Amino acid sequence: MALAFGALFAVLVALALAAPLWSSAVAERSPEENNTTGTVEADGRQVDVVSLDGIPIGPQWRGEYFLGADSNGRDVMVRLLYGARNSLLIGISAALLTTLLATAVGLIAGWFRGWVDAVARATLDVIWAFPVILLGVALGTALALGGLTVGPLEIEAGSKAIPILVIAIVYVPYMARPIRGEVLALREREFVDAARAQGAGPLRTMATELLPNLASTVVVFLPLMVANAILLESALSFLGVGVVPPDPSWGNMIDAGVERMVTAPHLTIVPGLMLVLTVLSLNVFGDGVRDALDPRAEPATRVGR
Amino acid sequence: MARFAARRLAQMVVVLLAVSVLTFLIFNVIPNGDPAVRMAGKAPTEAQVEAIRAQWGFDESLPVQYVETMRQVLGGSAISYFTQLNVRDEIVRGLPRTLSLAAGAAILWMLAGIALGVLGAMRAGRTSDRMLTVLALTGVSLPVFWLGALMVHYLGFEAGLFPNGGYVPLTESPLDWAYHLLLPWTALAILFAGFYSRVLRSNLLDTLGEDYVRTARAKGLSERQVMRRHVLRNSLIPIVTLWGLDFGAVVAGGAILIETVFDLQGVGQYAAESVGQLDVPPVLAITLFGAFFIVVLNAVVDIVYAALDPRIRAT
Amino acid sequence: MTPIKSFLAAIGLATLALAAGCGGDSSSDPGATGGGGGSIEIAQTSQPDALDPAIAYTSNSWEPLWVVYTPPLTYRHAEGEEGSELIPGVAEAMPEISDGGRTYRFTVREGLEYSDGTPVRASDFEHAVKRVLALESGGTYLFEGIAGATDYIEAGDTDADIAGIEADDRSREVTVRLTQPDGTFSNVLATSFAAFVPSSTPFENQTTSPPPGVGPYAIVESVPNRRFTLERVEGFDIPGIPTGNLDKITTTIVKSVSRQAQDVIDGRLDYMQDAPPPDLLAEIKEAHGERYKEWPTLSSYYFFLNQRIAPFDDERVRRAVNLAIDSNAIARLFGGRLDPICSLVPEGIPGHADFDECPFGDPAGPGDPEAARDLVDEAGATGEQVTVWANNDSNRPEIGAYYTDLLNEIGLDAELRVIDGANYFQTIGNAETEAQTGLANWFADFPHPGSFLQQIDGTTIQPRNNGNYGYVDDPEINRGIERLLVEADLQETAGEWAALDRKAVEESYVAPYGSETLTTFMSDRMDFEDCSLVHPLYGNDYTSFCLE
Repeated sequence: MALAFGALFAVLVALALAAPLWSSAVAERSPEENNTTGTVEADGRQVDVVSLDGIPIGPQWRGEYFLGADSNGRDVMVRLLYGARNSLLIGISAALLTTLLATAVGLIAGWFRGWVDAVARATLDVIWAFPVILLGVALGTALALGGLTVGPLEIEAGSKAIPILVIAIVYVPYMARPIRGEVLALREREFVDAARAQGAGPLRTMATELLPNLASTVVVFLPLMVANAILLESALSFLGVGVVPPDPSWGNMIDAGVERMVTAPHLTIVPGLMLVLTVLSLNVFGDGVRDALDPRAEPATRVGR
Repeated sequence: MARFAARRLAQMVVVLLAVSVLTFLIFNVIPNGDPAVRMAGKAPTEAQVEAIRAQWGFDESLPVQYVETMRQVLGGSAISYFTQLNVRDEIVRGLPRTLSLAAGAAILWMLAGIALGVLGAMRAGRTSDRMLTVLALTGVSLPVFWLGALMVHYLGFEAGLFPNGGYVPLTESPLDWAYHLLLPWTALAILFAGFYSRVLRSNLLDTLGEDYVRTARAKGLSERQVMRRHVLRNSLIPIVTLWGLDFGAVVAGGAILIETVFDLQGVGQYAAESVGQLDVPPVLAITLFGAFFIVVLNAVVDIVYAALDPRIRAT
Repeated sequence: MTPIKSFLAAIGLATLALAAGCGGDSSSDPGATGGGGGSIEIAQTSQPDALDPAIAYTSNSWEPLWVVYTPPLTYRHAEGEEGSELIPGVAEAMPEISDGGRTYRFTVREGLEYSDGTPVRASDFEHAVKRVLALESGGTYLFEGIAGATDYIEAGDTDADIAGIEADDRSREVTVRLTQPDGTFSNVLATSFAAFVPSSTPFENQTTSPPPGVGPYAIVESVPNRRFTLERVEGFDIPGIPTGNLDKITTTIVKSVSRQAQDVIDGRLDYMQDAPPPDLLAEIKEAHGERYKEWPTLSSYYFFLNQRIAPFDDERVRRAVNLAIDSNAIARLFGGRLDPICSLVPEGIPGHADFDECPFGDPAGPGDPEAARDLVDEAGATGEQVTVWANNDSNRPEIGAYYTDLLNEIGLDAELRVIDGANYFQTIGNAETEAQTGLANWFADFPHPGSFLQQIDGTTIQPRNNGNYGYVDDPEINRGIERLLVEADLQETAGEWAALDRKAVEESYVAPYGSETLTTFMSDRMDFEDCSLVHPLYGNDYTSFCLE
């Protein structure tokens, strides 16, 4: 079953990758191209893409406007596919960054113990204490206005790096804590002592002895982390602090769509379904991976808090 | 034990302090965030802006401003930059709504989580268990704001079975209160119930493998009796802990999305609005309030655990 | 009006006298079928910026406060141009203007009382003005022309005296001296900022316990972000101001406009201040047309174009924008509630430049992106990077998306930036932001062209909280505005105002595209036919409301 859902996720990724193809060859419309006053042929006659009252047409089930238009006359199918790219890009990047940070923090804290561990744990405690969405929204809002400059690194306001960074930071404690725990246990094992006895420095021991042993934990976490990151991205975009319009993301498409539930329900339903399918496929796949590798691992967290 | 508790409490205070400093910094390092200019209205003279700065203390150094703001937040006299309303009063007005939402949803998701978890564990390995797994994971995978929006529209507006959002105080009409909250409770509960049933199921399966369970079975107790008397009780402890933490998290800001979608105007919605307005005093107050909930519940859980298991105190 | 939140602005002008019903002064004619009494529940989308006349500065608050706080002068409770007519309010008569337009003198009516029974005194006026100046009100700039006003602000002492205001409680006479003539000052005396409040009113925002005022209604309850309640004041009597029909009007804050519209349809709410969302408009027009109407407002919507930095420092690029805009596309994003215009001063205000002479073709016709593209190319601006600014209120991000796409279509390289409405105008009004172009709109403070053209007055440019977002600085326009503002007779100078407006558009200093229409939508309990008067400046007039 896990494999079937893994395959589903692969299909979704493929769809996202095919977005430019659909856009240029099938719909012949780019994701941000407006067509507010245009017309399109439907039922053998010319119909406004967006009516004078501002109501967009529904799904046409053919190349152009396959899933209908939004209030700006943009092609929903094209935006959906490009939204998939954004959601997956942000979800995967954020999850990888979380993994990187969490592994680093977990390794260092678990290995050195003492005051290093104390500082690391305190930092994790502080991030942990923040309500997840509140922290995400606060950081997102602040950075969306002024961007961020850390030394030579400059992130422009409106960049997708902002939600990636925000999501990555928010989830670090959820992953760093179990990794730290594992490192604490591992460093007492014989093979670590053996490596040290042979004169290996702490860095080398970490890289050659500890990291490979952490791999299964990381692999168990990763799909679940991606799933959570995608959900949080959609929540942030829904609240207006994730992917910035007109760049599409499933979250901001739903945000715009809920105001059109009566006349154009497809604007809300379709991106939501995509979101559910993607996250579900990752969760079931991840569940299977966990059962196979490490049945006792706790599932990660959930975007409700 | 007392020493452990004291240390845990001291830790708590330090964490809360750090949370407040961080929140304050997030909103004080952004360009364009000069609240004096934002308050000054149209065509202010430099003198007016300076006057506001002096009056609100924006001309002080950051540490002084931080201390002053914190004094006001903790003392309940903090005023919103944007609406100039008392922040504590606003939170107090929103709190019953947020608490009603969190409490009802928590009860619902606990009951549903237990039912699904037990069912899954008893049918472990069978097709029905697999279907339950997918069902639970679907619940976890639903974007709560999307689910909520669909519920409000289709069950509330189109079908007219439920109110289309809003809140009625419990004191005004308990029936209307519950009626208005039923949809948000369900939406939130679906999200958590899936997760709880997963955790409970795996705990149950672990416990079922223990020796004393086998002994109980050997004594001829029925499967149902084994489950109720021996297994469930032990497996529930971690769930109850989680329950406390999640309840705290929902009160502490997790309700932002649900409150927005159902227009409940609780603390979460107030937080979301204040953040958008870069309104430092309410954001600081709500973040601290939320962090307090999370940290206190974490500490309580730790202390209770330590009381039960002396080994934990050492680490 | 500071467009703090654009959807808040519900100030409109019904020049066409939309409804035949309550056309006139409803104090004498509360409606043929509508009787007195009863109470209703209505909704607003967000908490009014303030329920304190010294601070309130959005139509969210002006609509209810107009019937609670009466200034020395006020506007006739009537639709269309008649509603723009100033009449005496708390003052016995229109002010005597002397000293070449520098001195205004009026007398407070005899025996007037606040809603709590406190007698109204002449010196209360000075107290009201002091509160505006001391509370950092957005209305401060309106009173800075009073002699000694700036000294009062700088002194920082609330009890200090404003040299230019003299009030005699015994003769009930108030004299206001200005440092220079101001043709709009009578209008200033009719803003709610100038409304009388007792001298005991503290120097603090009174939103949680609004002070008593002189008016047909009084605010008896105010729970911020939840609701506020107006009750009819017994014994209120000022000629020209109706006494109101309903006994009680409770306004609830309902953040979702969809929910408001659904509730009005189903009768759980009796009236909504904001326009129903496009999603429900079609249904409302079709199934509930007998209790729904639209009326034009005194507003203009435009894209500002920063003259100081590339590429809009080039007149050809600005012209290209004006050429390319298709107002009909934007109208759809308003659900049809937008009248295309090509001037800053909207129809209904003296000095509005006429429609069919638009320099860039019929504003209601399609744009010409081809020609615009050529112009951008000619200016060598093809591929120039442009950041488009928009706020996150209702349809603004969609308008921003439309505009961004349009700029890309004509050869620029545009990107959209959407920020929270609460900080939007301060951000684009900050010189350091260097905002190139973006969304702006303006709702009249009072029916005067100067209220609109100050946005392109080069002398108002300032580094922060600048309202001239495009940094328009044309000596001819600056001089013109300065000269015309002094004149009191608007009818005489209307043509000259129009010429200034026209010049601004011909030079493409701004890119105006429309004027918003707003709505009246009521439950079927309400007598829509006879009791829904729309005032050009204050929108729906609560004193006209009555039940079936």
